[in-house]
Amino acid sequence: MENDVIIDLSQIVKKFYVGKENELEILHGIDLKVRRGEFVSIVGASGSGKSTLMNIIGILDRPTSGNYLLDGVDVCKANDKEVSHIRNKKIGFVFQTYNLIARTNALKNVELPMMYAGVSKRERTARAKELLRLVDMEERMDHTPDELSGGQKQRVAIARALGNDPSIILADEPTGALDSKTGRMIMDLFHKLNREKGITIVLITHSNELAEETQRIVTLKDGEIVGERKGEAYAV
Amino acid sequence: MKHMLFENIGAALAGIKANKMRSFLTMLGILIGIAAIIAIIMAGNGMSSYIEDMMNSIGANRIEFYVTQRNWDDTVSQKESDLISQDMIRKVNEEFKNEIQDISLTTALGEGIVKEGKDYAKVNVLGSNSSSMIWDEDEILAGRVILSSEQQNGANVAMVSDKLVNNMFHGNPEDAIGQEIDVQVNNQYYTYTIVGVYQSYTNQQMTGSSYDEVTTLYVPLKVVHRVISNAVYVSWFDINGKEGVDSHDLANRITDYMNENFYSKNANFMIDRYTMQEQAQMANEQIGMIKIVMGGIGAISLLVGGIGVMNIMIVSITERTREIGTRKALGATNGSIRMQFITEAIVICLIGGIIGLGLGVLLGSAITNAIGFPGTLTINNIIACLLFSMAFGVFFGYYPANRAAKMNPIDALRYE
Repeated sequence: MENDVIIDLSQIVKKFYVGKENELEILHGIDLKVRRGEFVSIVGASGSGKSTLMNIIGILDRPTSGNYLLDGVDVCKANDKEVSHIRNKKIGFVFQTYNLIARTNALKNVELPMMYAGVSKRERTARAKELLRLVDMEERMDHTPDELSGGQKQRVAIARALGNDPSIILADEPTGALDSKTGRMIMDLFHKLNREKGITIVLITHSNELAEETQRIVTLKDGEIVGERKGEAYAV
Repeated sequence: MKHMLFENIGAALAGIKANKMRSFLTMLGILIGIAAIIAIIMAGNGMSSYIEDMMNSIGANRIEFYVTQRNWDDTVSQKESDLISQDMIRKVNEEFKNEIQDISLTTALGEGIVKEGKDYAKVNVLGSNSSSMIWDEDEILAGRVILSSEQQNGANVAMVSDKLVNNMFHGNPEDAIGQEIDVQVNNQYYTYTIVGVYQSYTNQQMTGSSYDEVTTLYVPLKVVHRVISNAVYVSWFDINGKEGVDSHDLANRITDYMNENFYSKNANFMIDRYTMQEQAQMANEQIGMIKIVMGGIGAISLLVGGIGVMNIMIVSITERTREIGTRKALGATNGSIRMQFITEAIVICLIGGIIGLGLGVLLGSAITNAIGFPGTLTINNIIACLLFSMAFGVFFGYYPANRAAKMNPIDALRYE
């Protein structure tokens, strides 16, 4: 069913212009469809173009050519302001380095996307507390990032990503800076969100081990999709 | 945008708190600039109202003529023939009668004391030929002014100040009317009957012990002339120009008239004059100069301060590149990023402005106290100064904020 496709990339080409006439083609016509509620991983060595692909999926960058429909909306035609609103409402980012706002407590960090969406103070505080409870960080909501461990920071970041009930979570090496035990906890949290809340998750990683846990593994090499298969360790 | 305002202010305050020293140094320029401008406004307002008071109490049309040396020379002494005679004054009055309201002649008898038991009051006894030049009607608290018949007869009547009434008659002006007082001047006693009480004009800043304050006791001119024989010659006299007469022009013409007719043969002395108008103008020019200098210091300081704010905003934005990238990824529009940093610049400038305002008031009070009159600051001045510092925040915060707003989110997120 067409309605079930949330990310629809077709013939995505991305070129960078280095110097005068040296153009560098990073992505050579990517076709990728992600269904609603799917847990997909994109794997590839560094330089494979997976970061560029993630930036395009997250609409942080625009393709040189090709089409991208996000939840049925043609994002290539949207202007800067519309793109900001789409990012705000439809995408939740989780970064390798957490990127929590310094000197701002966990609660305020989680409120941030809701603030940009224009949600009232009372409503967003209530929802932020609820989300912090979901990631088991409610007791630390008054703490600033420098008072939290890596795993705690990442849990706050995940709560923040869920603020406006996004269609997808885009996680870029979310466990890359964590020890394996803490990384395990974060992965479990993603599985829980995917299973219980039906949230679509796109995981960008270079770790094959983590990728095996996901529903579908997309392998990228030199700017092309070279393979797609089911994750062997994906638990239904 | 409104729902972000408080968050932005909160974030700005948190940033300022986290970098206290840096924020303070950044504010310093704005602070000094606003302080200088507030101080000068206070001093300027104070001086202007002081001059206005002075002009009102003395009369803006007042011109004083006085005998002065042609060339400064210590060895030449003033003789009676160098002074202004009653005859000269009469001729001036005749020549310019269409423009002169009245001529005021005063001769001082000297400082003296009025004593009654333990009560006493210090006075300066002054003979004057005119009452209308000295007081407005509303300055007479009790009784009346000295009448012209009393002037002609040389009656022993006096007008005393409310201060004297306070010391001698326990404050009720009506009680003093008709009372006789003995005034001791240079070991001589003179007896006068009080006919009127006037309100003395004193500067509150100057008041030390009010009991010992010397006030003027006015008597008819003839009364003084009876004691001081050569008082028919004076070294100066005042005139009041009629309403609508250009006192500057009149002063010049009378001076020329006197010098041509009475002093052309006098090798050492001549007549010169000054007018209240010129005095006020000169004072205003001086105030203007001070205003320009202080205002210039303030303006330069504000400019430097503003550039400092701009500089620190650029530093702060560079340091927070990743934060800006993150905010953009979370859905912040260029507009909300711009607003966040403009708000931060406004908060820095406004805090600087508020501290500067406080410092300016202290500085302004110190200056005006030292000069000896009260400085004033209107609520409009305060509002204008705060709005001005906010405008500075917008002006110098716009460029850095715009730079932040236009950052590419990918580059910003990747920034180390």
